[in-house]
Amino acid sequence: MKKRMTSLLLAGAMLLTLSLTGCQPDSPSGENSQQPGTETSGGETEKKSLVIGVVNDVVSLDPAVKDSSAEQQIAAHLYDPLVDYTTDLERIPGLAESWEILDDGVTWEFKLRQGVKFSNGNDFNADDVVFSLERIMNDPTLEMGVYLMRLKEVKKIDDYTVQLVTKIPYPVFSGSLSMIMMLDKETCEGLTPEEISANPVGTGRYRLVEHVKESSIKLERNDEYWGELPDAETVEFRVITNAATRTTALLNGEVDFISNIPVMDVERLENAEGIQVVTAPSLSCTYVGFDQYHETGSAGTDDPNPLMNVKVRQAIYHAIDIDTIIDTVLNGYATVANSYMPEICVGYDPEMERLAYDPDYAKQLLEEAGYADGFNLRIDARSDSDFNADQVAQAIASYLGKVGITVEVNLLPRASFYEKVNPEDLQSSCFIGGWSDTSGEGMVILNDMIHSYGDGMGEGNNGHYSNAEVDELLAQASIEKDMDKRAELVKQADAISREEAGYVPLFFKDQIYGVREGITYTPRAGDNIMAWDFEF
Amino acid sequence: MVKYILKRLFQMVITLLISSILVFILANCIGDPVNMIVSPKAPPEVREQVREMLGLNKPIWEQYITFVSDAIRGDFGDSYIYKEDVLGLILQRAPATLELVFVSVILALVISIPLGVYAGAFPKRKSSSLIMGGSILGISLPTFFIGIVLIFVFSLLLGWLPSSGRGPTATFLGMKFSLFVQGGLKYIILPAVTLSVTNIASLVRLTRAGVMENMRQDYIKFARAKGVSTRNVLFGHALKNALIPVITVFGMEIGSLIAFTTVTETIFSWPGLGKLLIDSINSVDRPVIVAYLCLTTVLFVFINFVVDLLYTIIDPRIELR
Repeated sequence: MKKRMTSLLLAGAMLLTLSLTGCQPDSPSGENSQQPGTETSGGETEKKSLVIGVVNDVVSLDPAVKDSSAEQQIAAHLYDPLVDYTTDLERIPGLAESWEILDDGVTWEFKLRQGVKFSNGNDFNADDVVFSLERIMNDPTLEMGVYLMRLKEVKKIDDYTVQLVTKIPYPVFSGSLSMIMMLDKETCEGLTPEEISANPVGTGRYRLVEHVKESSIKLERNDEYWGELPDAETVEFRVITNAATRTTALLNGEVDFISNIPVMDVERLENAEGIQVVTAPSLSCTYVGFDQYHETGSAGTDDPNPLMNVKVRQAIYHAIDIDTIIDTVLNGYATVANSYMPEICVGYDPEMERLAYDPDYAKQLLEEAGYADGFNLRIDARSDSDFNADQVAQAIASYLGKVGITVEVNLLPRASFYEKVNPEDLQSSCFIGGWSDTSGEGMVILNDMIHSYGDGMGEGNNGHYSNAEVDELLAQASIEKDMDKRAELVKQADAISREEAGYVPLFFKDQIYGVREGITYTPRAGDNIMAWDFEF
Repeated sequence: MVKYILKRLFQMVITLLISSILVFILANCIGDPVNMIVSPKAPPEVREQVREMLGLNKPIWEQYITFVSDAIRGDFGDSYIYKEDVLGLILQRAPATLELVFVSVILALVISIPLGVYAGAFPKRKSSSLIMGGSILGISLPTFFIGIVLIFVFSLLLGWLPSSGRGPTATFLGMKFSLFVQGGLKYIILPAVTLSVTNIASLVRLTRAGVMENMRQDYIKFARAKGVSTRNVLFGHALKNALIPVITVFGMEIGSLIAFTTVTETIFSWPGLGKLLIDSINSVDRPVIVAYLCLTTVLFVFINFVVDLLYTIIDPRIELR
């Protein structure tokens, strides 16, 4: 308690110095800034504050710049999308009160929420929607554009009605829209992303108090928020890159909550007083990808490429004991994957099982494929991933060694790894990849991962798995409005790719969080940490 | 003197050219920046568009020539990731690192010089061997280990000092410093100590060796015979003559402290230059890497120059040529 008081006093002192030295020009909390200090000395009426230890600072507070969960989680505090989603990835109205697909199948009409104000007092209306969407569509360097690839045009019907026309019928487009935050046209028009980032104006649950680069992002609650108000009145995202330091900061009360706890620290935190460890499966699938593109000359393996043979791929699938890998490499903090799709997805098939671990059968398959004496293989993996890809690759190498495949493990830093597995110019025969998607739609995931590569499809299908039947099923699923029918089509496509061992799904790594006693945290699907998931 | 400075400047330009070519080529080998800038879900057309916008579709020598001609005009380009002017980005981060290095250098000097002189003057005492033993430990222990042990003891067990962050800052001369703010000082202690341990250890050893050698010289005996006080003998004569190698090494260490505080800054989440460098390398942010290392080259050349000037002050026999 004492420590918390001093830290609050410090925060107060700091705000005081800041306002005195005037290095923070547009402080939205002008008259509030000295309150934390005075209040704590009074004792009782302490503000509900939340300090969250995060791994990295955001690059920009402009919500369109980067497609990463770290950036999107901060953006979600400051801004709102048209369509929002719950902790279970269910779509709910955001700044759009309601929406419908018109009879042509490609026009979406959104009725906007009225009376919503931006933090600078401006009204939110259709012009802001048109501006926010067109800005992203017209600038290829804004990463969020990937979510609007299927959008053809945006039309303002009246002040509170907009129509969005997609290039093809795309029933899950509302899901893509939940990634796109709404900016104020009057403020942001003509501004660069850096200028928008320096002075973010949004409608979200929180407003920016201060962003000290590489140190912290301080937010305060927007009490005029149009929806339900979150418990935490002030939120600070504090950057603590080093995992051991982050754990210490939670243990001695400098922060209230941390994520990305390394598995080796879990026990120590569980035994600590006043700290609770919360785990939840993540949406991030770790898998083994195969080069199914180069008939000959695949980098790192024999000629002709043995992985073109379905039996070889099946053999590799059967040779890997995923349960043991999870127990030993990840201390059990992961869920076995039977597909790229997490359980929560439309189209996930709970009846399906992985191809069983059976090294003898794997050997038999290799023999049938004509590789009784095995072959050479290079597994490329990231050396700096947060899902222990390096150790997973080494474990897989030893399993493959047991069935006669000679494996070389090639560990690479992030940038070199992505260059090797770039689907345009694949230079890897076998790699440990990761994919995460918050759409909650199996169709979206499979379109990215097992649809044939090219023309905007199969963007994550680095190994060029390709099956005409799968493509056809997914094309049908993409335009199927009925959720159950869509799920059925997705299940069929999923089953085919499993049968053909187009890839080996490994696991969904658990998210491990630590939270101070007195605060309840409900983890959400996906990696995002939202201040409104905390209850005091 | 003027001739000497001009010669030094000329050498610096050559060094800069060579190092920038090296850095440019090496940064190109880390990986393709476009993969880091564009979302992995983006289609090939977008990749090509971005590649063209950044000029990465041109051959590397052409990119280098563009870089040099811009750099001469003081424009190091924009960071791929932060989309900000690189020089501004580096200057923004510099105060944090500079104040950290400043404190750790002061610590190193205040601690290592007296200890080194003591151990050199009285090498046979038990306390001297204790100092030397400690210095071996200081040299051998890796920085990240020292940092984590310090955090464990002072912030977790004793709860005296915060484990990370820079704490409150105040603006001074347009830059943010935490040194001049009351609560800011306690944030700097652990990282500064961590950073100085290795330096203290090596400076102690250097000072001791120098002082020991000088203590055997005739002029020391003569000074003693003349009745000069021990303090004056040690600090006025022996130390002064032992300083040349100490200053050389010290200069180099200040340089590497400013340029490469990466490990310490990462452990303590200190928002300085080291963290910027490692982040940039991880995300193949070539403009930042190249500009940063070029500035580092300038820094080292400058420090060497200052060290040379100091030589002439300490030992008038040395001339600048």
